[in-house]
Amino acid sequence: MKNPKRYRRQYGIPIFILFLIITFVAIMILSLLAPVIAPVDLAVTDLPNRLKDPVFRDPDSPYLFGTDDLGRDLAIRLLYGTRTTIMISFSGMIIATAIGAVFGIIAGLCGGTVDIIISFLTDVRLSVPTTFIGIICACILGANSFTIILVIALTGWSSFCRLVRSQIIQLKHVKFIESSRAIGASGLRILFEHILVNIASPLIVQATMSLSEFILLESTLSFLGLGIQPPNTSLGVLVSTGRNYMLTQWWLAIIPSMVIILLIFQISLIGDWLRDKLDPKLQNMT
Amino acid sequence: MKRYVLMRVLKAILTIWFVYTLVFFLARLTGDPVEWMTAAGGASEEAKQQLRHNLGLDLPLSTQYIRSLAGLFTGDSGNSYYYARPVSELFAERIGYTLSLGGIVFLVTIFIGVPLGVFAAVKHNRPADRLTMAVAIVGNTMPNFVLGILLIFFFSLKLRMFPSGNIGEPLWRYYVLPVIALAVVPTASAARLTRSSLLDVVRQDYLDSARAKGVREWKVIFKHGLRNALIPVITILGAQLSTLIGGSVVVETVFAWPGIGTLIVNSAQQRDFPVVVFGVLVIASSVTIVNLLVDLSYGLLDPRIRDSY
Repeated sequence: MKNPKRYRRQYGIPIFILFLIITFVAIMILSLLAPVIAPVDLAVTDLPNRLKDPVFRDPDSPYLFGTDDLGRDLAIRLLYGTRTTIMISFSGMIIATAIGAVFGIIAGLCGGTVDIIISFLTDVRLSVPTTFIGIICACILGANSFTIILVIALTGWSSFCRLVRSQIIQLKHVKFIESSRAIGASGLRILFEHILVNIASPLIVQATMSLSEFILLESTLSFLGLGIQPPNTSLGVLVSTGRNYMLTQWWLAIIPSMVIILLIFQISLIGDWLRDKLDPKLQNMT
Repeated sequence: MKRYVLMRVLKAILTIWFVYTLVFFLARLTGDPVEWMTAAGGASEEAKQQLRHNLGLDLPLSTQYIRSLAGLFTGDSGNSYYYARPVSELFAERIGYTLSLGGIVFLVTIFIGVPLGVFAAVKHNRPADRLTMAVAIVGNTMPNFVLGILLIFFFSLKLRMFPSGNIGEPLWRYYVLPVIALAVVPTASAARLTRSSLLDVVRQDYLDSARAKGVREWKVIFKHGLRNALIPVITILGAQLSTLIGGSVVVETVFAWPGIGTLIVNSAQQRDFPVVVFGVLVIASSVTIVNLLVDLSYGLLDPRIRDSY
């Protein structure tokens, strides 16, 4: 008979992880609804009210987090900034996963020369640090949100490709696949019915883990001035502009920094938990 | 084994050449650098033509490529558009600052991260272990430029303990904050890896037999256990080098550090292609060479990998 406590530990969600998931979803919903919630647009400047104190410095202030150097409400810019960051990293993640999975499937199934070429491309990508690929692309294509999505796709695909390739090579010789081939199932049918189902869960874990990397990449590039350009905003842009006022209005840089830390922390812990849950083999890897 | 080494070296050279060629042509595809340089207006057509001629940009693309590739072997890396000086000179001036920063970060990772991991593994599942790992998990997810900003805020602006950037006298005080900003992630990751790797090794029989022979416990852990536990740690840390180099570029920018990271970021913003292309070449080569060394040492240690070639 199953021990209920042990059952809960194995299959239930720990309270802490549940809390992280709820806060993460709340942040996502709030930021995606930014245009609905925010009373004014993110770019509206209000020079007489520049650099106003936030509520925690002046309880009568109408601005929750104060205003920036052009009188724009930091709370509103924070909502829009989080929105940009999340939308860009999510679209990048989807594209990177798709490219990586397709390349991985091709490399794993075809083998031979195709596999060697794809592995070589993976090596090439890994020999240039992510930030550098971002710098080169921004330098060549100009700094905007499409460049960042492209950078995420260009840098992110390799880890998915490696994962899918190794999974497929392992699966190719597993008994149930060999037997379905023996009873005459077509290659495509095996691919969709057996292989994709089996690589789905490691792929989901990898996608979650890499989402935090992509959020970091977006904020880093925007922070360096090689990503989102003002008056549009993202978390990186907010930190980079707030940095000039650290001596007097420290919260302009520190609050967006905290949001970045919070997002990355939430996603990594949720990803760790998902990995342990979906793939017990990997439990003690890192 | 000879064949394995030869194959890996050839592959590394091919990788570096491919990266260089890719970046070279991509950089030229985006249009005429002279148009970017004279975007402010006021330059006559003859002046632009003269500038193109001086920079060698009026030659066919294939000639430019062969020239720059040949230049790498003869030590001529071309001139920066912005500084009008040889690119190699610009790098030589700055690389010391970048390497010293990276070297100290490496030492911190080895001499703080690994012992922390051993400590946690020895105190397995006790509060000390839990606390160390909680700190390591937070450290592992800390984005380094954000950490840099927080460090500047607390230690330079509030407490006024350390300078917020650049370089000056006494030298060591200028290293403290950039080193912390860069070292936190690899140190935390080394601690976590060492702990889990050592916990796997501790269960092996040969440690029990060492204990049975009367070897002291610390010697069992450090001499017999750690030696074997470190192999996967070094492999994974080697693979993370690329992330560390990428991170150092950003941290250098945050602290206005006079290293090659700041140079490359500024050159990218100014579209100073010779510097960017050369910078990518330097970075890609160092990552590839370190990965090659890690791979080769792994091949030496593990006969199964050697035999697969």
